[in-house]
Amino acid sequence: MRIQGAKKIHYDSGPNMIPLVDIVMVILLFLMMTGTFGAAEHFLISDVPVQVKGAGAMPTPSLGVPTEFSIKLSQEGRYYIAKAGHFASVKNTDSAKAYAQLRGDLAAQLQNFIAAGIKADDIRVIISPTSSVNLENLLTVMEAAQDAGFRKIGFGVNQ
Amino acid sequence: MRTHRMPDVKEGNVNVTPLIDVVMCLIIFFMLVAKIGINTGADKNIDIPTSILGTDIKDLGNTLTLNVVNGPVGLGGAQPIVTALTKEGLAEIKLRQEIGGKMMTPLRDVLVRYREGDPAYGLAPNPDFKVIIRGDKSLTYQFLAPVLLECNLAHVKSLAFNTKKPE
Repeated sequence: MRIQGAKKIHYDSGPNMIPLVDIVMVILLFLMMTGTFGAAEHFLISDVPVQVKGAGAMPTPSLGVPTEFSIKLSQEGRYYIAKAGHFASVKNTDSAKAYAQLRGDLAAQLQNFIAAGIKADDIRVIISPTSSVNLENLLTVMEAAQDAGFRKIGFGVNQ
Repeated sequence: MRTHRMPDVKEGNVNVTPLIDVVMCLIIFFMLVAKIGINTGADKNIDIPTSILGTDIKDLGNTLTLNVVNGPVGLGGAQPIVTALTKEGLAEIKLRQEIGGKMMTPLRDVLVRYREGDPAYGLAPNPDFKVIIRGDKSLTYQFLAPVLLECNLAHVKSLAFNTKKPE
């Protein structure tokens, strides 16, 4: 009987990489499927304490900010109406146009403060919405104020 | 003159080395960037508002995410439904709750615990503690205001509103 010898080894073929590629591909797919990147979301930050008004309200902690600028916000249907300072009101029947107008009015207001010798850091903007204002409109106004250059923006609450 | 022969073409396997290089780079990228197994307590069912401006919070360890949606309006005023990540998972935290005939403020207590620290819960004092409010875009201010008030009474210095980037 003839004994068959081992197959001829190909010394020039190198290590078999196929299992490695399989495992690496599985790891890659796992990371791609399970990983959350959170790139689709961000945050609007307010460092100003909530200003409480009404009976039994506690005094708001002082941050050494002397100038307050109040924006009154109300809602009509799905639109908001913002009233503040020297501008009468902005109504968002056309949201992009209203945002641009509000931002422009607030930026002009900020320029008035700066012309009067008040720094942007020394101004505290307080947004006081009525109870029916929704979060989307509230944050639009907050964003417009941030966009206009105001840095300290907070909220007013009636107790 | 002596001429060199062209080397023989090896009809072997496909060269997978460049593929492995690229795949390894992708793996390292995903391992560094992807947040795997991190639960911030954000309720993904909430339709959050859109904003163009906004910043990223790098250190989410200093934060507590409060999911706020409209709730019932009772005798005690508007009662928002607030959920947050607790030891038992995502659970509702009441603003007011009567326990043993005494009116308690569970949400405020939780916020104070996070800010001042509580060894019983494994929490160290954290003066940089931030509250992230993840509210539905239809959330009205009558439901948001009590949550803001509780944050104020718990002396939380910073609030962040979770918004999505425009598509």
